[in-house]
Amino acid sequence: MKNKANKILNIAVPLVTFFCIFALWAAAAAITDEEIILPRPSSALKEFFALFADKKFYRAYFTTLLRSLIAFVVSFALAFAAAAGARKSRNAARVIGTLLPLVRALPTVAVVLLLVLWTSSRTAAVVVTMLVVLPTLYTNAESALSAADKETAEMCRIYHIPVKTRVFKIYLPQILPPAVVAAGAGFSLNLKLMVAAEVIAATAEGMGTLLNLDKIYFESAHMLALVLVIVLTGILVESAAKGIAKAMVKKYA
Amino acid sequence: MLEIKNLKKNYGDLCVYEDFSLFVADGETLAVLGASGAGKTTLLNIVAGILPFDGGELVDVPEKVSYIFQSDRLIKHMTVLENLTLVADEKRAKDYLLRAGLADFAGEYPLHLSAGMSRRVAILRAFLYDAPLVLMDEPFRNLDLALKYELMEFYKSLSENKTALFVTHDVTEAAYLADRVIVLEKGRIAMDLAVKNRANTEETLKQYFFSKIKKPQ
Repeated sequence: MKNKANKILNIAVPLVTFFCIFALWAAAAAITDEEIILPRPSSALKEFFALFADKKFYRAYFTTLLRSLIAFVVSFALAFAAAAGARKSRNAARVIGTLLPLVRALPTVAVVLLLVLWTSSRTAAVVVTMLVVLPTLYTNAESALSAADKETAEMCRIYHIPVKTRVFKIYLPQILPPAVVAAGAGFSLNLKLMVAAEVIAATAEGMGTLLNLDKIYFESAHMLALVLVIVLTGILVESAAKGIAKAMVKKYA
Repeated sequence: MLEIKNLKKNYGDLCVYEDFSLFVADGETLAVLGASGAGKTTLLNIVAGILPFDGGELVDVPEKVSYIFQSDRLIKHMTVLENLTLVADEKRAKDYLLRAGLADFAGEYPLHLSAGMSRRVAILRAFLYDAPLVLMDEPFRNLDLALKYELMEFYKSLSENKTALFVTHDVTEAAYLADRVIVLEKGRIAMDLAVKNRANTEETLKQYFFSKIKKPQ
């Protein structure tokens, strides 16, 4: 009974929250009554559905997704390699411990501008996204790796379990559920940052570029429709990751 | 079979073993008793090769050593059979499961097993590995009496011709399973007993430990 009530609340509460946000937005739009400053939700939703018939949108969307994916995969691999290195060697941990606060403190806008000068706007967007996401992914990688505990490692050593078996059959499935959750949350953040970096770097193509154009031509409704797409993509990826991790854990828990 | 010569082991400033020597004969089951912190698990871990030591020599330690840890250390995302096939081929693993009456649980995950079954699987894994030397760290701790005796019998049925070194706090367990019992005190052997008669050994050990109890002033 309690479970059923919880299930209903799990769906109802987010729906009510979304409804409240839209109601507030509609009220604010009605008060301002100025489509350029704050378009009505209905206008934004109309633009949102119109996007799916627009080839330019698809190109921009998938370009941003691809860039995000590249940035994410590289940072994810780097984060795990660094976390594994830090567990293996104290000196590596010291080096990483020095570098991470530096990376975390980098002013994003300044770095984008410098990178645009040094490289191309596309590379700047990818690199800056990597730099911002890396510390968060590193923290997640650290906690995922701690799932592969010392006791298991000792057991593997005693029973001379081959390295390939240890990695693919023992450690990867152990760290995969937390890693997938970290990946989902990380990718969502990554996508958001990529769009910001594209706006600042003024890339030739991408969601950021479309947002820039909307700003120039005062297409506020179109801009909000794009924001909606970015938000929904982030939520979708994060929820899918959580679902996959839950299914993995459920199998043997 | 296994000889430890003049072992030295320190944890920082704390000296656990200064000049410790021990010989375990082929096929012998040796129980190691002692107070907490006497260095029992340290001794096992050194013999197992998972803990470095500061001096001395280990002679004739076989390349393959089985270890039954205090906790089962089964891989929770692998089934019972998959856990066992980490150390042996599937046919032997299935044979052993059948012998242990666990064939029906081959496809279960460790978290679905009872404490006793989980322990049995850990013991099976140690014997499936087929090492001549078996190390055990309080293998029957936290089990109810009936289950403890059941598992000790189970262990005995598998341990023929094996040399075993096991750590315990339980004098009954030591007398029940071991051919010889040593008591460690401050890194030295305070007592070394051959088990000829279980009841007598148990009594001697109990008297020894009672004599160590500090009476309130």
